Amino acid sequence: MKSFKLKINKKIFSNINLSIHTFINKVISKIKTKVTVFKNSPFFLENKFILDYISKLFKGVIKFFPKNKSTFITIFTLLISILFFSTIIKGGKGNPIYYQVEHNKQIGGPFEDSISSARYALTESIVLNQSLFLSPSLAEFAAPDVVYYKGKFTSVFTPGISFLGVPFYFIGSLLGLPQLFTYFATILFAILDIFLIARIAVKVGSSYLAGIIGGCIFIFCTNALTYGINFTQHDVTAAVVLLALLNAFSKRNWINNTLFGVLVGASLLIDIPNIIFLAPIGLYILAKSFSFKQIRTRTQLIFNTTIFGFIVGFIPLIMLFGWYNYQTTGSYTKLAQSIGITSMFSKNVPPQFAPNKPSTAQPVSFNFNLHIPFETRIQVEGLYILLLSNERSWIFYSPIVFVGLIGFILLYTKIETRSKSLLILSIIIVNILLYSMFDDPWGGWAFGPRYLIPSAALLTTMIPAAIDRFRKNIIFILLFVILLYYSIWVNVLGALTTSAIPPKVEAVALPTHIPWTYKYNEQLISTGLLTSLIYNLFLTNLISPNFYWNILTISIFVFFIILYILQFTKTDRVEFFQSISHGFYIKNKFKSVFNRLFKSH
Amino acid sequence: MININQITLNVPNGLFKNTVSNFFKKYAIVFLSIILSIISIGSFILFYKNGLGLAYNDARSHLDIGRRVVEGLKPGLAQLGSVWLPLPHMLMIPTIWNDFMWHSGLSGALQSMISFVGTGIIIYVFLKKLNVNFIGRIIGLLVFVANWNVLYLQSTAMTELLLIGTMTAGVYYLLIWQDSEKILDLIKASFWIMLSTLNRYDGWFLLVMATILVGIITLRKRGYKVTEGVILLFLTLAGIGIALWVLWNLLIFKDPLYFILGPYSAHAQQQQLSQAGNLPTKHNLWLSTFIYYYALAFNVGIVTLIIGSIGTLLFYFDKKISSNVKIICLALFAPLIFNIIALYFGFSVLFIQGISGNTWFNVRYGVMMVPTIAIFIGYLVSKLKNFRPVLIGVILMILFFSMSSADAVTVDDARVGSSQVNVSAAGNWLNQNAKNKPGFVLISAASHDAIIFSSGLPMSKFIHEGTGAYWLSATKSPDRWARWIVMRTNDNTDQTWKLVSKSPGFKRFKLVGHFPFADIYELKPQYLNQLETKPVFGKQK
Repeated sequence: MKSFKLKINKKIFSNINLSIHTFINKVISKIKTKVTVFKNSPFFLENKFILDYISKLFKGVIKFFPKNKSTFITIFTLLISILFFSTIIKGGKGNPIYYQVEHNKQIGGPFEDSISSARYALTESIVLNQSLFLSPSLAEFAAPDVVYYKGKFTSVFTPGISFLGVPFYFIGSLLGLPQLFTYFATILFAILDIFLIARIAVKVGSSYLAGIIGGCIFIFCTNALTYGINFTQHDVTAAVVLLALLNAFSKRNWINNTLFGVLVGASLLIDIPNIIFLAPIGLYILAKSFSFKQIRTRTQLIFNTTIFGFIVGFIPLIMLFGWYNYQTTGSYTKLAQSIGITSMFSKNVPPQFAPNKPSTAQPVSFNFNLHIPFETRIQVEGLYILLLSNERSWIFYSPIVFVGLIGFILLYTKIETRSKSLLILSIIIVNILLYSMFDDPWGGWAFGPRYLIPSAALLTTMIPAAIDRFRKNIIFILLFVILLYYSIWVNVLGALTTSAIPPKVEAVALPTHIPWTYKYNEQLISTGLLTSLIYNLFLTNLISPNFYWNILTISIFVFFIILYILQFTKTDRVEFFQSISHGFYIKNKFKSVFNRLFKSH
Repeated sequence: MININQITLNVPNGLFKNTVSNFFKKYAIVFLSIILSIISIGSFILFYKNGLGLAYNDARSHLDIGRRVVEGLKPGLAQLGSVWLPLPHMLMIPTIWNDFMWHSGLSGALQSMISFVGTGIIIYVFLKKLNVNFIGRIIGLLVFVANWNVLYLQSTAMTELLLIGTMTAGVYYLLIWQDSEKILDLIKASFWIMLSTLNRYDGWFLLVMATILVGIITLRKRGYKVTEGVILLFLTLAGIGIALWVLWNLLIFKDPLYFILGPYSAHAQQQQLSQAGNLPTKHNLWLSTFIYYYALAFNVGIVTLIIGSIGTLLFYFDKKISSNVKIICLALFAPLIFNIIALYFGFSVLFIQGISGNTWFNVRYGVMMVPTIAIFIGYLVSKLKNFRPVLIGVILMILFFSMSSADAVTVDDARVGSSQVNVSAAGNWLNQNAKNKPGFVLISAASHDAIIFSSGLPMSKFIHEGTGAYWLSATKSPDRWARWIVMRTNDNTDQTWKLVSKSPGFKRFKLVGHFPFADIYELKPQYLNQLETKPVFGKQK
């Protein structure tokens, strides 16, 4: 019976192997034929000198590459990222550019979401009115995320992002482009995230190039792209968490501990829950400050006092935060959000800003309730929304990030990277669990799991480990390429249209039905809505929104493929393509799988 | 030279490993008992001050049953009744005579509080027996203790904590027995299981399961003949509670299965629900499992449940743990299997808000699995050395937010769910109008026990089903025996209405109070001169 099974399985495997082999040979021969036809075509012959030039340039770049690998990759990625971001920045035709003076909150615009407009309103108020309070018109623009307290309006959010935007707004206003420049602040952090992820990847033993791929995955294949072109906390929070992680992986001295204090203080100014994400890093650093030494009959417990540097870095920023609170609420410790948003503008609020429906399982509180906005009662629903639902989960929005879990397993199995991988994992878990307990795990009308952007960043720091390990593995490559293309496709769509997708509970209650997944974005683009400034300024009459979206998706995908191929050494390339063309690779793979399957028998 | 970047502390070798750890090991149970007792008393005070101590109407009914044994028109053990198993009410007898103990609920909560402390200690020693390290034991204990549902149920006169305590103790001694093979350990296990069978019907299922597991273990070790003897020995004590309960029903109610098939049994209630289409889990295994898992998730916390499930899987795949231990630990899952089966066969009903309409009902059944989950989490923490910091961090984080958000689904179950019926208005009316006037109140305790409790009147003021000749006389000639009648008008499930509405004397009453769940009738003043206002039957048999 066993041998019969074995024969059947062998036959099945050899049949599969044969069919894949035949398919690959067919594709390769077709490509060869096409290339030959192209080489003999009049276009090729007429433009041979240009093509020769491009080919030489590429060869030159390739020659340059081994010598200055990191520099080349850094510059190349930086330029390409800026290029891609410039193609998706939101804007419209105006005088000269719309949204610079107009506070229009229309769908798809830079102010479509109050998480951006409320922060922008505060920045504008600081620069133009030298005030931390919002004028009635600015308050209406920031609604519903506005607090009304003692006759004054203020933003419900912590002021970090608005403060960050101040110098950018100031420069922008000199050029008549305040909105574009202010929003550039978050783009800068988004681009910074790429290199921070690469640095962390290197710290955990991956190659820099694979790290850059990881960083680019975060920026172009997750909703970090959509929120990178908005004026929100997400990409900045990711940067702070990544910086703190890099800090934790470094030697403990006064400078690093002070810098960690600065990061913690800054994280509070950006968004309050950030401090909870940073808690595992803080504990890791604290643990590193203690060491034991065994000396004959006694044990030495050594405490590194440089940990107190944390206080030095933390205090100035927490004082700044306290001062802001005092100015707005009259108390150093009272947050504007603890007062609650005002309903004064509720009539003028578009549907995407409507308050969220309560969960079905609101607990009855008794006197012990500390009224923290995180409740375990709603966690069943919260985890479903964040991890499984088609409304927000990575499965539907950025499945590529799950490659990071393969990376985690690889890092965990190595003793030298185990503690680092566990630290990364613990921040991810804290992030997911925290927002699964939040009143509104959807993040209001949002695109993808916006609260999990820091986790996406952390997962992508582990993707390079998987890439390094399996870069020549055909199954991995197939899986990677499919997930990559899908993730780019979805997230470019989000960036080019809207970040305001309703939760299902609200979508079904709307008078006009709209989808609660990225189908809504598809619907918008098919009706001609495309929010890219470049497109709206120059390309509206030349190409359709759909075409623009597809061409951008393909361009980003090609960029990734180039990065991926750049990883291969010459020997790698030869081996890889030879093995594919001869089917050896697959054959060997099946053989090893087959052996593993029946080894135990 | 002084290095300002470092502080060094010299500790003699073995100070922590030997001296401190030995000291704690020696007095661990004492420390735990003190800490758990403080938590227990603190929780009772907290819920009492919040007015939640008696939020469950069932808690008031339990207290009334206990009180009727010592006070009323016909006090005595027969008042223990047939619907609920007698142990909780028997344990109230020493304290329920005191009005404060009765009306504060402390008489009923006391046994739950002791069970809470006991269960905590058993979880600790259970994990120790499984060779779980110290931190694992503490985390396991913390999962049990830092749970508002456990803390609430231990602060009220409900039966869940007593069941949890007796069941966990029973399984613990089975675990000891499978290793020591001492008869005394088996007897201890059977004693605790016997107590659980006298508490809730979940204990009956544990008895069946434990008998099978004891059989399997003995069969594996000693063969068939010894197995026969061991099972017999085990069942002699463990099963005596059930035997006595059946006998009790036969003697008092003339039907050994009265508790199952009687008019006030859960079966009768479930039949009504089934007829009204409110028993969707009946004959639907998937929904039964789904609903119970939801109850578990709401009682334990979804993340804690997931971690506990991982712990269970690892435990059963752990080659270092003997198969006998694994077999015995299956008894920890008795509440899970029992509740799913009970829902499937329609013996039980459980509503989850959002799934079964917009209400809670009996969601507290999920709390029975808390010790099981705590034990497997403790095991997991000990087992996964590298993951331990992450695991502990996650558990502490979840417990913190669970506590800070006052997440007690059982409080919701009691306050806004179907378990809650606000009877205080009817109770207050009685208190204000009947307290200082002579005469009895005719009422069905089966339907309105909570009103009896809320009224604050002495039990001897009420004529109910358990008062023998008073009940028979009052339902025939209410105008001679009752000055007030409390009942649901036009509802034949209310025994008082069923019997009194047809009697000619009922015409002499007028409706004086209309409340959501009961109406109050009072005898017209012109008939008061014929009314009996003093107990006249003396000691009834």
